[in-house]
Amino acid sequence: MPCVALYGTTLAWSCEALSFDPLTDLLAFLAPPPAAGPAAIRFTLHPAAPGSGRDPAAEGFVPSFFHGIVQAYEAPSGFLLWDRVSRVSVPLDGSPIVASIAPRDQEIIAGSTAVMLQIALTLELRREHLFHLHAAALIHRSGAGVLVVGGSGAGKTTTTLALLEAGYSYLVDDCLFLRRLPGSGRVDMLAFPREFHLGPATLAAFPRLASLAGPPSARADKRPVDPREAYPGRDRKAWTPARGAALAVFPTITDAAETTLAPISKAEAFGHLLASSAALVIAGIPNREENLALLRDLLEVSSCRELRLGRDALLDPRSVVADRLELERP
Amino acid sequence: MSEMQPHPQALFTELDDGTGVLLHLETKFYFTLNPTAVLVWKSLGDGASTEAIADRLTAAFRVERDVAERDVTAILAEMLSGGLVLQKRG
Repeated sequence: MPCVALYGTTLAWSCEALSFDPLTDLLAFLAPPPAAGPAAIRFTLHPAAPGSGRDPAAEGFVPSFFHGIVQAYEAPSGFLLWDRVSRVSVPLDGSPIVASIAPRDQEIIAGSTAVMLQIALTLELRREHLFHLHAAALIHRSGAGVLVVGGSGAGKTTTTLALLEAGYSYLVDDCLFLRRLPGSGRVDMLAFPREFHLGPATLAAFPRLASLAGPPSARADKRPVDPREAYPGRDRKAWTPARGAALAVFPTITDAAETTLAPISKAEAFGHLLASSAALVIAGIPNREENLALLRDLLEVSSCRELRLGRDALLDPRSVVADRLELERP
Repeated sequence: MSEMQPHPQALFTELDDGTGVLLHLETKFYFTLNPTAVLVWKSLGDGASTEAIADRLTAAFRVERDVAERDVTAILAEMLSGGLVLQKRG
């Protein structure tokens, strides 16, 4: 049974009679656990059963939340995820996640199986006190760093790459987990390592990366880049910023000619963090209060800025974005 | 304005600069609170009346009593329109 470790939590899975293993791709950057032991999170994957494509609402399941094509329903003690061809049962009671997976060429939206499995993993990790934040994190050699928070299309990757070009190290470009560091109680940011995904405009702004980018998927224009190849030796697994050592940046892409950077209140910043912690508002989600306290404490060690990316950011990201943020570095 | 109480589905987080955020779990909206609104919200949680909240505001921010009363009324009206508070029965 394949297994990997994610910050002390072992993930294991079995693939019964599937022609492909979607978890191998999703967890490709994670290493096996240092020692054998029971897995905290287990997946059982098997081919889609007859009826997997039927809307669970017709069976009495109550809708809970959605993410793109993936619809989630309330289920006994957890959730049922459905992307119109496959289903993933996430029980949240310690029993395995059970995925009923349709062939890849039947996906309505390319990659939706992986999205469902990632949502399932994110939900399960909350029981392990690991909380997802849609954000990038970069660390300066001084120990200070930049947290870049925002949804898809906000400019996280452009900001991340600009800082990488300026010499920063990185955790991730869009998927962090927060936890309370045992002992000190400080907020620990952990990387969920995987490829960066760059759209055409971002690739045009960082032409060196174009030669490293893989092919776009069948239905998306973003291309994968392995950051370990693009920025060797600069990956970091975790960052525990000291008070005042973090700059929390909230980018948005605008039509303005020039990029601007301005302070925002902690309340505004917290609102952005909430928006990038989508699971928080799901009814029945475990450990909500702990998640909120981590976000609050993250802001206690951070100063907060809104980065409004103008057209100049794509013309010269290094000087427009990185140099500007460098002036604000704690 | 009749007396108010916090909506049980509104989660409050207080931040270290005196501001705060309310997350409404039913509507999924969040609301940012300035320090005045934070005091109002915390007072509601204590079960304070509108009059008592105005007293607290007067003491905390050294404003005139009538100004405080107007502020409390305005903040509660906004909270009511956002579904963050409920009118007390009886």
